[in-house]
Amino acid sequence: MKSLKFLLFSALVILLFLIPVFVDNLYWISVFTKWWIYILLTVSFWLIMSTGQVNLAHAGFAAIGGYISGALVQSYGWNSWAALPVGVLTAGLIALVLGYITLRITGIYFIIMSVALAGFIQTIFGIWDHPFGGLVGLQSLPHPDAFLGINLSSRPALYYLILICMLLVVILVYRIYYSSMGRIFRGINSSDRLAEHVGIDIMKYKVMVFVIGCLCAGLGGVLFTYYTSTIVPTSFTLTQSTYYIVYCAVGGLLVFPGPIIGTLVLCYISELIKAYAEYQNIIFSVLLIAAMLLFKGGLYGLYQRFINWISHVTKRNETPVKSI
Amino acid sequence: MTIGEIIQPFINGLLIGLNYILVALGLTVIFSIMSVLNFAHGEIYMIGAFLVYYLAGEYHVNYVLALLIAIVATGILGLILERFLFRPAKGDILTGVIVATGLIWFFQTGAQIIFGSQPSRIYPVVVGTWHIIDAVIAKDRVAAGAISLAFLAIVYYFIYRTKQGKAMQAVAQDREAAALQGIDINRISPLGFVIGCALAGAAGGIILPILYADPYMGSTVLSTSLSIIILGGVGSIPGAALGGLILGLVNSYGAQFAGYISSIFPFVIIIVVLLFKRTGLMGRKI
Amino acid sequence: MSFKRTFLTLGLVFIIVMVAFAGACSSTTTTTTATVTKTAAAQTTTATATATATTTATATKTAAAETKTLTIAIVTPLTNFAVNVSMNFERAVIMAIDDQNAKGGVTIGGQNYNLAYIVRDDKFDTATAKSLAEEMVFNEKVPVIFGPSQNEGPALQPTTNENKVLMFCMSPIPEMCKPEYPYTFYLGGIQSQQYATVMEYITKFYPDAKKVVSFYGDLSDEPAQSAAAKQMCDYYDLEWSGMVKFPASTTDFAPYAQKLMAYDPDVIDLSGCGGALGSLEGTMVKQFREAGYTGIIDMPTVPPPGIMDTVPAEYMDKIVTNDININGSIVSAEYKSLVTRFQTQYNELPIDFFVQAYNGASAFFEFLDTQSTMDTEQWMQNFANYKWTGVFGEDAQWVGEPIFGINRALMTNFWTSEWKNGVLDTSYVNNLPTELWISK
Repeated sequence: MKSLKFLLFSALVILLFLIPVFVDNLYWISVFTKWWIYILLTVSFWLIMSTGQVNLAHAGFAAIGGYISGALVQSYGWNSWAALPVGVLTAGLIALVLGYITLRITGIYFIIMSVALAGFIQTIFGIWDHPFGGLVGLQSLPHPDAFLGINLSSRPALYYLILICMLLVVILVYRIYYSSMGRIFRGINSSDRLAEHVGIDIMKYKVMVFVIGCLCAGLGGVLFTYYTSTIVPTSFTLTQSTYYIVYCAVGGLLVFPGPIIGTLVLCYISELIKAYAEYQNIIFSVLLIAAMLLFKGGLYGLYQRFINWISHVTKRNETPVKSI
Repeated sequence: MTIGEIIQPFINGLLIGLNYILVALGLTVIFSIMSVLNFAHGEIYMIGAFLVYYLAGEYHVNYVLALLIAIVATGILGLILERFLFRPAKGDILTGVIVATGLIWFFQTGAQIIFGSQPSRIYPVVVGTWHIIDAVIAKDRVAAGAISLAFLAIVYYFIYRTKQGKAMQAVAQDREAAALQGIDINRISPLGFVIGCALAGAAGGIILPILYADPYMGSTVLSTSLSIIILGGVGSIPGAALGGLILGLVNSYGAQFAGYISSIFPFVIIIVVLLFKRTGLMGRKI
Repeated sequence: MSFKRTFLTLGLVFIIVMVAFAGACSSTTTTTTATVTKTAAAQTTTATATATATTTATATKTAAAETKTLTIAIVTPLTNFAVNVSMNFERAVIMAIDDQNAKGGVTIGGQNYNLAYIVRDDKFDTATAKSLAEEMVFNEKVPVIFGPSQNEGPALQPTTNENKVLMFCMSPIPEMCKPEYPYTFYLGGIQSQQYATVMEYITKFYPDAKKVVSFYGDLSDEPAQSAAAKQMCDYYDLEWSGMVKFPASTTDFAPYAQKLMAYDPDVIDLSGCGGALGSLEGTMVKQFREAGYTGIIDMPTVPPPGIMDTVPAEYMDKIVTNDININGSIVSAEYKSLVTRFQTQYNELPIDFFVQAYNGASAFFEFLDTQSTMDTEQWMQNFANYKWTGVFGEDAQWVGEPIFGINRALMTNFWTSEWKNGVLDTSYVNNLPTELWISK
């Protein structure tokens, strides 16, 4: 029932907006802000992945957004609300150009290409001292300028800004994934031979989704600079992109709530074990391999199976349906 | 520019290239037989280096013995990985990538916890240099190059002259046809993985006395190996050999003439080759 | 979505959120318990070793009220190639805390405090560092943080500076030490000092050496290293040919040997290649010698102990360094005893930086003992003017004139050593141009 879904979603959104009202611990507000950025990045990564292209340079596009907007603000004194769209659009433009050239390569070769691209972007940003700060990167970036008179320098204010951006991206990804073109991709997934048979529209759609995904990544990069006030070449490496894959895989690769659930769960676990941070990646790797090989479909898949099992168990009093 | 300034990097480049070939060969063998790109290949290399460090450095086992033990151990590791992790992935690219990512994190963090984050060195096995005209070549590099060449010869003999090797070639060319010929895929796949991982482990152990072992060395090796197999042509053994030598020379001359920027060359090679000639220099049609 | 499904989902989500909430709350409390256990254990180990360390009799402070706990945070990159430096820094601070506690803790404004510490790994990453800064400042309410490096340190600064929390970094860059960040201090020798020690030695013992080329990785303090190298070469009348950079992911230095030798240098300066880049110095020395370089190599920052033992002795010649052989003739008794304590406690030798860090950290805790309020703004202003005697036998002072913007760095004197045929000879006390750094 669509209206029920909508109600649930609205209730969730209201809850998220109320968090700073009830939680006055600034540390936790900041942690949630960080989670929203990661969800934004993971969900946009997942969108591109749903068309069959695993873009391991996703973090690199975030770096482009962050660096361009940060450089404009710091080295050229721009207002951050002018710098933000420029940063995001630069990421999108580069994605457009690269997309047309590279998206005809598919499968494992695209993955290798994106690995190379990620390394390339990371090294490039370390070369020039001006305006990108070279190896030092950009430090002491200011808070975003006031928006329509609302001061944005406090942590709760930043929380709301980033929450709104994250929700917009999530809704956008949802709409694209469940659109008619999205349906085709949900059907063929990563089988590109089948894609060839369906028609050349696939290429245009792939590029469009790639550009949208990278625009969102650029936005995530800009928001990141608001959050940490710094950006260095090692902020957005290939390893960052692999985190996005891991979040998607643990949450559920092929379903919409998957990346969101995966990000939240793994980020939360990371918070819990922060006193033993060095063991974090070992735990994640075990979860990851278990998610891929044991409980397929990730956490969302587990949830679905659980629901089905309960439904099945509580249907005992109904006439059993003969299995076909 | 003296003769030495030209010859020295050339010889060094070739020698280090032989080591690259070992690793890249392992990667390409696994890929051509199982259609799975083992992104954790660099970590196997790292494990090989650390095993030799542990045995030869901490327990003073004879270096050659330590190297052989490391090769056997990484081979067995390859067997385990193939049976329990990659075979269930059933050739699905995405699953393979994700499983490999998990392995990378597992091995890297494990090495970090056991050996610490900073590089570990052992006392060199062979000390001294040779002088050729006015070029100075380190003896231990030549020794490493010679050992690498010996292993390459062994692998070459195995793949091209033995029955098992020919079976592997058959599977690499056409999986279904090979099955129809009666070749047991379930025997060949593990064999490919064992050889691939043993090669990586050997390369790591060979390079250890010259450089060092650290938990993060796998990612650079992976980038270089990817560059080699793309340049040479995925699945092509002569391609891997040629690509390895070229990359060795590129890294050698590149650092000398372009300095810090040269780290970008392997990435540029991958991008350029994939855009213009996807099959690489010697690859088959994909 | 049917009603039943919705109901089940909501119920599941509710349970999960409750568990998550409970988990988050309990994780904060475990931190403090861990801290308390740490100090207790540390105190028992130092009880035996304190005899040599403290020069004054242990004064038992009888406070008017019961003893409270003052928690210090140590946030440093423990799982990254920088671990060589951060581990020594961490241990230096811990030892300084333990020693201060053995002396009865600190008394601030009549209230006695026992020092406790929390250690966190910031993984050399800016996002993690920022989160940790907020946790330490908002949750744990620490007044002082020790430990960040130049890479992720800037991410902590907005939080610590806004909230008047003192921050002692491990390695300085000008961007972190600007006048806008008065709460950021640095406890070791600044880059130009380190260069001065080796270059002064070279001009004295190798007067014919003129041409210097520097070599360093692509880390964020490279500009500061280059500037310092140039300044010191100019001061000592040496010809600086520039800085050759290598990617931190480099595994083979032979190609760079070629590049460096093309400058035909008398000195190859390995700049900051010790420290965070740790063991690479051993590989570099070996490979440069194997490439045919026979000139001087200088290492202003030192490798981890034992690394140079893996380099054949015949290559370990004409290497000028700040690495210290504790049996050297000029080494002070205090220095020796610190190193021996470290060795007994941790079963390995420290790097030289450990002593500097201990020097500064223990001075800070002694300073705290003299304070009359808990106002960290007062602490910051007073400590900036504090003077004490360092383990090198000279007065430790703050750098007065900003050097490339670094104006909160500690100036100490170093000794210079040289590897001669595989043996580390520490017998030279250098004469540093302190007028360059200390304002009158």
